[in-house]
Amino acid sequence: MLAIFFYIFATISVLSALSVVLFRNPVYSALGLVTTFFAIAAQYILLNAQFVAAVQVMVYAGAIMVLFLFVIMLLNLNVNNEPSRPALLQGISVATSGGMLFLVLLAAARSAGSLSPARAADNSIGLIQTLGQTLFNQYLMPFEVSSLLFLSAMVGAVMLGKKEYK
Amino acid sequence: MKALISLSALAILSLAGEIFGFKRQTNVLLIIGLLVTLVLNFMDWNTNISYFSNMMQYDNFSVAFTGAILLCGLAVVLLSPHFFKVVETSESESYAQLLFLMAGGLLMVSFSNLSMFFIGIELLSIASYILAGTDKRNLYSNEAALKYFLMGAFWSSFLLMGIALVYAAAGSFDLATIAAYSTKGNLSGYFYLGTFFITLALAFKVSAAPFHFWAPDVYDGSPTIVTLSMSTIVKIAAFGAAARLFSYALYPAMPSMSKIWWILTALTLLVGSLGALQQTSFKRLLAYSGVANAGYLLLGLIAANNNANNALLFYLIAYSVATISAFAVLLLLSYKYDDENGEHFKGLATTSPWLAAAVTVSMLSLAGIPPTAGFFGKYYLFTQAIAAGHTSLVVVAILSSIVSIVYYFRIIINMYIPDENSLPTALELPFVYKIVLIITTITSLALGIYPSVLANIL
Repeated sequence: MLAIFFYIFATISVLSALSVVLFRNPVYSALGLVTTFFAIAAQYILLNAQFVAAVQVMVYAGAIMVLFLFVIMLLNLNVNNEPSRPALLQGISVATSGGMLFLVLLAAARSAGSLSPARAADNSIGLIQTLGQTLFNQYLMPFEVSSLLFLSAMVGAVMLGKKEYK
Repeated sequence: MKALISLSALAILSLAGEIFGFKRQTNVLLIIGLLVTLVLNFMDWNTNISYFSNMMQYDNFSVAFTGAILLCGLAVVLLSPHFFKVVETSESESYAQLLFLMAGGLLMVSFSNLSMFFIGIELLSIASYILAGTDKRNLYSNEAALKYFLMGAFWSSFLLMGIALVYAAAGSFDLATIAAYSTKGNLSGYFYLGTFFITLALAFKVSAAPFHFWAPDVYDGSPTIVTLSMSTIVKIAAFGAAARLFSYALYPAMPSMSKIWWILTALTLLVGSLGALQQTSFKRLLAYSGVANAGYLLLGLIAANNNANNALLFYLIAYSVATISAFAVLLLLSYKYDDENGEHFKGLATTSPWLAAAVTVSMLSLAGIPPTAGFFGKYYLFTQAIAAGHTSLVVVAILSSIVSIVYYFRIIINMYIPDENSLPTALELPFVYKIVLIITTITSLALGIYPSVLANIL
């Protein structure tokens, strides 16, 4: 049963990821990316990782995609104005870079060998309750200090964005 | 920990100054606050407390490196007010970002868990991206901020990947657990791959070649006061973090990575000193000199033990002190002539002999000529590298420091040869600048004469 769902969502995510690259209209590409994010979120749920799934939908499909669409609309990119490059050159460059990446990955995977997990797999690890308990016990300090990080980023965004009245 | 709380409180205080209308007093408040923080920091000497299920270990290493960061921060705050009169930028927020940067640096030198390390390095980086762009009207400043941000974000992802791979191998973020795993032997390939990625990311942060390309542009484009904090605080924090990481946890991976370290160090030394030879702008020269100095400091990282960390600390203090006096004089020149390239160093000795003397001591210290702190800094680092069996690298380092004498002496000679056509008028010397220059010059000389004060503190 789970395997069927896995294959359904895997197919959706691969197809929509392909559509991101293949569509020439940026809005279609963006929508394809949203679909990919949702399909991956579904995979996380199949892995019993509720929190990661929720974050995936909220942060990626929500915030980041809205940002993408804003940029597309503000810069008026929704018309097809991407300059077309010679197909042969494009094909060669795609094949070379993709092939080299694949080669590096293959070599790394071969020499790295199999990894025996340091801890036994625990299927309750992705539940929100487990995560919350870890976050507020063991990882309390990083959690609190990251508030400093966000404050710094927010102050910086305002500082660089605002107009100086002088 | 007390120092971290105090720094965060000071950052919020300087933001509150804008709301409650005491922003004229912010500078004085920050100076007092940083002095209090320094006292709080050194109260933790020899206590060695670990906080929050071992997320932070505040040992002597942390206290010493935090002390260095706080002193450099204090110098930056002291020199700031005159700078903000010239450059139009939001003063309170800049102070807040500087304090966030220092808080990030503090986390980077006192973490004992990789998650804290990552948050620390991000806090420091984000604050420095923003500070690089504070001079909003200046296109070069915008360029510096964007360039630094894009490159930094790219290498942060490598750091995160490296941390994840180390976690995959050791099963923990905790430094002690990772050390226990890695000394057992029979390490998984993921551990080496993770260590490699972390090394690359840190090499970017300390501007080691071939990841140094951002440094000259960012140093040159940023407002001078920001360049000063980047070349002192960020450097201390980044090397502190690397020393902590490698000497506490990842040292078993060092021997198998010795070739990578060799290439990284030798390339950094050569690129830094040969690049500096061709610079005419003083800020770019200091940027390249920062790259070359990162090369000497890398020598101290390879050994990855406590003595080498002490040598690193000594060199970082010597380098920062010399850099602060050079930048203080450059700032004075930039107020007078609106010139950040140091063209007006020419003939400085005829009108402002004391300033010229301060720059001379600072250049001698950077070049490593006795009796200045820089000489002993280099001496300790070279000793550690030879003890760790890297004699060939020390030869490269000595060659590079011979080359470096050329460009440091060019500035000294320029100052003492009066230019008949345009004799510079005497510079106005504010009181705080006088204090800072006296302290840095005396420290440079004192550490060169009595190096034993700092030689064995860790």
